[in-house]
Amino acid sequence: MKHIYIIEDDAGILDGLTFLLSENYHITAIADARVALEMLNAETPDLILVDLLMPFLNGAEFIKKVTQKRLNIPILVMTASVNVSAQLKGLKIAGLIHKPFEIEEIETRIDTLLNKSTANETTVLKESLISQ
Amino acid sequence: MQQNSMIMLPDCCAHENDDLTSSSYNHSVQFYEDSNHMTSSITTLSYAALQKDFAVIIVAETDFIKEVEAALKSRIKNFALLKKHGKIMLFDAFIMLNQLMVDGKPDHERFKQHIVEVLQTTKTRYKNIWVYGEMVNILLQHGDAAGALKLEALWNDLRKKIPFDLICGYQISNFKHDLEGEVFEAVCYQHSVVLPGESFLKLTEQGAQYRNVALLQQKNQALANEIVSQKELEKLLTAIVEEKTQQIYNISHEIKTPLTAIILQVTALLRMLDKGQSEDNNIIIYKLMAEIKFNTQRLNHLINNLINIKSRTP
Repeated sequence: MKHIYIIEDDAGILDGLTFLLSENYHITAIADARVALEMLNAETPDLILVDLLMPFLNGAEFIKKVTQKRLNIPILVMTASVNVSAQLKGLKIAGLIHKPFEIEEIETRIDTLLNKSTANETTVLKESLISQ
Repeated sequence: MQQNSMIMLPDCCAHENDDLTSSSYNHSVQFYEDSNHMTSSITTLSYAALQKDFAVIIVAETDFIKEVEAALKSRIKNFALLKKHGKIMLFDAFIMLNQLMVDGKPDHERFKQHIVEVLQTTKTRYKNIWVYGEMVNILLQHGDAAGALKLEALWNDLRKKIPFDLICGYQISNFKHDLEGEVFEAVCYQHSVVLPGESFLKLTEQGAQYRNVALLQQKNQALANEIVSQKELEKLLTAIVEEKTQQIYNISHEIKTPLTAIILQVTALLRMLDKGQSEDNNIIIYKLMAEIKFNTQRLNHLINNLINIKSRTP
């Protein structure tokens, strides 16, 4: 079973995603991105689903640090913010999902990413994708 | 300021005995507040010019031309003959402008073709020429300050080759958008003589003129202060709009978060019901329902806060 980190500070969203995705994936639910960063020293999940706006360590900073660790993990970003192009500029992410979303959208994106070779599939997000 | 040429004098001072044979030809600008006053003034000046054997050329709007022509006809018996001999020529400014413009700009070649040739022909027959034009005023009225200034420059170039008196009429209200006075100043610099509007020219006593200038200076200062205040107000409004936009973004973020949670929790419940798992998972269902309730309360609280903000806003 593929292993996914869900990093989200909102308990309702974190619980909902965990409950729904647990059926098909091994989920590690993490409310604090700093904890996730520590955990990455010991293991490498197949995919990371991370919120952008979080206390202590936000999603963009988290992605930078993951990149510095040279971990080629596809990272899906979730956000409720309207304009995030400046925050995500130059970051290697596999996709951006705007809240509110349906779980099917997340499932489709995860399936697509995990069915590919995860190692070299992450791309620098283009402006066009961000502005969607 | 030299005032020995007839065309430089205001209407109230111009009369038939004015010296029109001055060796210095001027390119004057007459600003005016009331077009009726300008019509009357140009009628008087052109009549005086004709009396002094000047050829008169007027390029003005249709109604202006009609009024001046009617007034001159009533004063000059052989008006038709003068017109036939080209001593007085009246051109419709709109038609002339249409002939001068190429790609929306006054064209040098067209100017030569339609203006220079007329002046050259007239100069072979008459020693002195007096011209009144308001094509520049029409251009400015239509927001084409650059076109007006280019046309002024073409007239100035022509005056270097053919000496003649030229007076340009500008309605002062056409500068209403020129808050910094840049266009107005540029127009003034194109002319050797600048005559203010008739409200000033009617003041014959020096004391009254000084009071008028002082009053205009005071108004100018008040307007300058007003412009500064307006700009500060614009900045403030822009900042408020930006702040409000950011607030809307923030509110949007705050609404989307619990909404996403509710969608996920309801989806989880529906999937459990679909799969017939509900009977064995009362604790999970209770937890999901509790979370839905919590998130709806979050939304309700948020909406109440928004209503409170709205009610506090004046």
